[in-house]
Amino acid sequence: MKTILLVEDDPNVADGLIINLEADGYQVVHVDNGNQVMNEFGKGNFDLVLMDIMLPGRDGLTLTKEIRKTGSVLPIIFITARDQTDQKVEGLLAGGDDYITKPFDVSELLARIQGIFRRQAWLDPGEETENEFEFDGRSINFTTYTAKGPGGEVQLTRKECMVMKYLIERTGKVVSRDQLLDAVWGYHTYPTNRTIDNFILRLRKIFEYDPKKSEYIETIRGVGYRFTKKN
Amino acid sequence: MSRFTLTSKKAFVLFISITILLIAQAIWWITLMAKLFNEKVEMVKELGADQSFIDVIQKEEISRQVMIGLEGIFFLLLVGIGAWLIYRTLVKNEKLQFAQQNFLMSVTHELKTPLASMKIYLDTLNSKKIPEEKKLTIIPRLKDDVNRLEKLVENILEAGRFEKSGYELNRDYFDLAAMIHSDLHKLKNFSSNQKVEIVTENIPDEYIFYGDRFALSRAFEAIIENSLKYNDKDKILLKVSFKSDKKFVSISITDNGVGLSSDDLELVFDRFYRVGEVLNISKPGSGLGLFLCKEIIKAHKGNVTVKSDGIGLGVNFKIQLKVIKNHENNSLS
Repeated sequence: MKTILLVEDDPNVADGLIINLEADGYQVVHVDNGNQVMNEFGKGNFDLVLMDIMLPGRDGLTLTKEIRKTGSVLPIIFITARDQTDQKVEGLLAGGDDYITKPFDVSELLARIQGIFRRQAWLDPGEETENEFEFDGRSINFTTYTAKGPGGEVQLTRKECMVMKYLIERTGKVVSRDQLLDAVWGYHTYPTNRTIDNFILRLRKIFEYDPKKSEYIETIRGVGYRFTKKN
Repeated sequence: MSRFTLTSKKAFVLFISITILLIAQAIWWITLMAKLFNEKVEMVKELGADQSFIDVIQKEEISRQVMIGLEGIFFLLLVGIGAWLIYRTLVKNEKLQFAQQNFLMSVTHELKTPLASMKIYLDTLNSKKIPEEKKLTIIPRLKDDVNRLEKLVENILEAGRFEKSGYELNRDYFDLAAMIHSDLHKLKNFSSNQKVEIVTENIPDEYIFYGDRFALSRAFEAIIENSLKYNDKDKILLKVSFKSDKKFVSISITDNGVGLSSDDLELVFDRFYRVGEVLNISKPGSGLGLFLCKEIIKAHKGNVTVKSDGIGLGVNFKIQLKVIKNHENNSLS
């Protein structure tokens, strides 16, 4: 059974969510004050966090940054009334994996949670599977989210890992930006194609000798990207 | 002041620069005038004038310089006052902008949270996965959300009406003491997690007052709610005391809550003002309750004040209402 840490200060919203999440087969641990989150996070073995942003004590953005600082890649979905694009971008840059604005349909939230778990399972199918990919002295581990390139070992984010995995699974084939959006972020509108370009830029810095003359992750003008393995 | 950043800093730098410029200007003037005075006296002496003529010249020069000096001081003072006023206006404007921004975020949060909860509950009622007995517990909570929304919308509309035409009182004779008792009783079950102990002091069984019952009840409730909301103690202690004489009625409300800093004390009755950072707003509200309270009391020719010894040390609110003399015998008891 998967366990969800629910960080929500409004008792009614929390109560409604707990009823629905439990009915969907999740175990829920509820925290209603930002000051208690890190303590609870340290105690539990959680599979996902549902995080409100405006909270008594410490706010959800600060808490997410703090969780990420510990090296945790636990999926975090923001559930918040802050619905402006710049606020959503702020949340995702803080380390959130998804962002859903209040009021929302319970079915949509449940679908997004399932989506995250589905993508998670695709990225890391389990302990028995060999989950490391090597090419030309470089490597990427989809379980530990670590990568080795000419510059040494680097810790990746889950999204970076996902982008890389999607490209590697389609070695030699052109992958469009929309395909990457669907596979890594889900079907909703954020982020823009521009964000994907930024992810690619960072991945090139890790794996390429010269990010400007890309050997492995090529840009296919007007379409997307192609991963090529030399050996 | 950390939240009033760029404009306030610019305004402050401008004000300080103008002040330094004015002081420099004054020093330069005084030095120059003293130099001119000495030069003139020296020149007259060199021309061989006798002492009585030098005295006359000195006197004339002194009075001329005093006149110029006074004009200069007046001019510098005007410029200084102007700079100060500009500084104050800019800071006030920024505070208002900040408060409005804060208000917008708070209201968005306050409107959307009960809406979100209602939507979740409606989805839950509609779901086949949820057992019927669970669904039954949802109805009172849904009503709770509707009440929250209703109150918020009322406050926003009321504040809007204020801006347009001020508060129009609908005065009549009513029992102020009964109103206090009834409001306190209503709010006693405010929190399900905390015990509320209310101590009343000298509240008579009946006190007939000429005023707007609905408005005064709203003002009184705003204070009580504030005391209950901003209180983290397991046992909330509220002391309400009543005092009246021929001219005034005063109601004092003291709590053992989170208290207020001196900065917050100044701003707590301002429209849209809410204590704390926007992302950490811990309690529901719009920043309008105490603003409306102040306006209602003002409309009754009274005043409301707040005191606190500091963070963690509780708050004391005092409402003072003027007894309207034209209407005989406020107290019929």
